[in-house]
Amino acid sequence: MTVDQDWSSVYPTAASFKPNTVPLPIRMGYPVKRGVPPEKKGNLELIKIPNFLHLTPAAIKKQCAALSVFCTKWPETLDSDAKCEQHFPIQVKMTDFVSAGPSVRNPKARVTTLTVKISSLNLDDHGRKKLIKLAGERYNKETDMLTITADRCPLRRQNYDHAMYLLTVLYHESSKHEPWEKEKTEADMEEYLWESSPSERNALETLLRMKGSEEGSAPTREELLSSSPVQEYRNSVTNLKNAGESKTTLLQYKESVKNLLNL
Amino acid sequence: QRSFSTSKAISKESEESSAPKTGEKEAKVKEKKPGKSGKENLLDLLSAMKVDVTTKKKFQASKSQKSKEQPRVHPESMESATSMFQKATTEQQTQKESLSPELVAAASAVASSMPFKKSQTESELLQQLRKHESDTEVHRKGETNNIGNIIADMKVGKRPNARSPNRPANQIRFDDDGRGYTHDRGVVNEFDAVRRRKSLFTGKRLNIFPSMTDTTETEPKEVSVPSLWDIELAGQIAAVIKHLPRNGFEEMIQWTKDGKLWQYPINNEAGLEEESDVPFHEHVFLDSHLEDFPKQGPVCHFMELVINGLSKNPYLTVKQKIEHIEWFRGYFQQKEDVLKESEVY
Repeated sequence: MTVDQDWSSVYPTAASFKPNTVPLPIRMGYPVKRGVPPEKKGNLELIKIPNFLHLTPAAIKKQCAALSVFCTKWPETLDSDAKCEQHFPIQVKMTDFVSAGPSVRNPKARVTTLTVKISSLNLDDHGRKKLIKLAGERYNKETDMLTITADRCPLRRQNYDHAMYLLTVLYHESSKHEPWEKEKTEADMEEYLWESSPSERNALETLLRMKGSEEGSAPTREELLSSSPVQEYRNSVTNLKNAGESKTTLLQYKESVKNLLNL
Repeated sequence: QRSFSTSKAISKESEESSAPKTGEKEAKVKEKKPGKSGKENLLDLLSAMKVDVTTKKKFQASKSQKSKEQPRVHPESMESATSMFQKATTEQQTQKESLSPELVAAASAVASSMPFKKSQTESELLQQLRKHESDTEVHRKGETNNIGNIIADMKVGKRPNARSPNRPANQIRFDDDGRGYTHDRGVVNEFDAVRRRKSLFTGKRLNIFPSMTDTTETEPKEVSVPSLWDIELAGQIAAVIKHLPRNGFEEMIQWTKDGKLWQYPINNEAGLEEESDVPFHEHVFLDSHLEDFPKQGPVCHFMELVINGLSKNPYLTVKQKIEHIEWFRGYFQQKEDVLKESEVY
């Protein structure tokens, strides 16, 4: 073979190893009786195994160049992940499975997954809370992602339609206000609300009694509520309840209580 | 009978080399009947010669039956002779009246393509032909029915492939005019081309003689059902038109068209087009099929569970799901009296 021979035309497609065509001095096989591995001529081992002589980097480059004619360009304005998120908030994942076997079918191929960030949907607070309640397990609080997996139908396209349908239904249902939602109790609340909690009641009553025992005008509830120590106390209690107990929140609580009770 | 040693030099494939020239001729005659319709010309026979070479003994046995084919071929093969051969044989026609002109033409063609001893070859061949002709006349009357048996015994459609067992399919490259094989050019390149031509009109025109437009027009054989010969001819035309793949990529294209190779990029749902027309709600929302069932009670509850299970099943078609529900409907209707008794229905 000449030195400037174009290898991709010697092996354009997958073919078995041809010892006279491949100019490499390859040896393969078990060295019998302390000998050397047998040479490549007439070597069945080399012929049996699959080779990638048709996929040299140069050949791949050529094929990519040939295929690039059929590709469309990536839009230049979508140059960051954030922009892609902003313009295309819904991401759909579908998988194709390739295997060597008699059949091209794979039952796992029908699964379609749809992920979307709830913040990109136009939902008010009530809607958001309702959606989270409706989605249940499918909502991830840390990443604020709603994941819908559809695999009930035999075909991928049907599952995609099903998932889009589910998203649409979720959105519209969470925007609606049902009459029985008014019966929401404290047990249904997702997060702690200080406004009508026992903590507010207790704090205000304590303060009222404190102020009442002293001389002077007893301030009204509203005044007390709007005063800064009370607000601080409110914040710290809310923090404690919602975010959990940690050093900072406890410290904050301590400070606010001290302020409140003028200790 | 004289066997020509030159035949060994001529034939490039090993299977042919064993046959002496006369044997070739005989094989040609034998070959003529099985695979060819009346429309095929003798050059086909020459091309067919190399594979189906029979031993002398086998030939002798069937010689009488085969050779009487020749007079039958007379009127039909007249149609398909080329201008070149027709003109070539007009001189010889006067001498060998008993033989069909096409046979004579073929004999002269064979002889002309031999490197040496042309006239001798030709005369010997024609002698043989005359002998066959005479034999034929003798047996003609009594054995017409045997042709039917022979035809019935022949296999259909295997001939084109049977000619080329030795050719590796990937490595055949045709010339641009579809004539010869670019590999293994030898002394007998011309003979090869002549031999391998599937029909008269596929070779390169030599433009020696003015083209005959009227006389070469053949009247198509009027048969209501395509006869064996017609099928054979159609297959051969298709084989000529189809270009054998020049490289691995074209081979893969051909296999993909044949359905032997999957379509890439792999689509796991290839072939399920019918199913893809079914919208998803027909799979998932099956409540509409529950109309004939009672609205309350354990039966209703049970059927709701059935519906729920079916909607989650991706392995059934909609039709199968509806059939399931139908079965239940029939079942509950059958057991209506039992259910009424227990006041459940």
